[in-house]
Amino acid sequence: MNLLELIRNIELFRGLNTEELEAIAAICKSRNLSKGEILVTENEIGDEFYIISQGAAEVLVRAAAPTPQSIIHLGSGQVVGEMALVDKGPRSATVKVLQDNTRVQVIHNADFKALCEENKNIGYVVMGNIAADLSFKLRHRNLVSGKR
Amino acid sequence: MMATYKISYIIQDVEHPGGIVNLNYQPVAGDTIDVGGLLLEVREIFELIPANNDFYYLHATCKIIEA
Repeated sequence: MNLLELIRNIELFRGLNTEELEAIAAICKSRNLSKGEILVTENEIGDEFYIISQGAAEVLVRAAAPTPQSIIHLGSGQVVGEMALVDKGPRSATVKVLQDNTRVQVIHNADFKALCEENKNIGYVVMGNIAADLSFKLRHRNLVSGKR
Repeated sequence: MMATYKISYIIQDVEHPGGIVNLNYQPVAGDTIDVGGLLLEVREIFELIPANNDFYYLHATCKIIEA
């Protein structure tokens, strides 16, 4: 699957037309990761976000716990590091790769914001999709809490 | 564009935080799904929120088959 087809099937970009998807593809950089690699670190400042296109990663939160607690596993198609894009705060969690040959598409926040300045529809659509993704993650957390 | 099934899953009987993964097919109870190298049997699955065009949002309760 080429990059355009890949991002066409990622929820974050749902609602964009082909020209807009091509513009997104142009700012994506592919990165391959091995099991155990750290993609982002809690409390650090981040200037990029990621889409897992292959493989899986684990989200760990230290908060008040003595050791980081695993709070969710994220697989293909999931977005990581988007909160810093939205609220400009430090990373809320550490993300560790769970599988060899995990591949992420990296988008620098500055590149994405520049694209949104050129085409406001991209920003409007993608920000709405990020909100929907965060909502889905919250629904998942509620169900996990109910399991305990 | 192909349909995408966004699955929120939890795993029964083990300490596991659960996860979210996209699949390009609709899993049903009894299916085996591979989530990050972990094979799970789907025990129960339901629509979590209504579908939006070709994106479907499901929640599955699973059991580990093998790690």
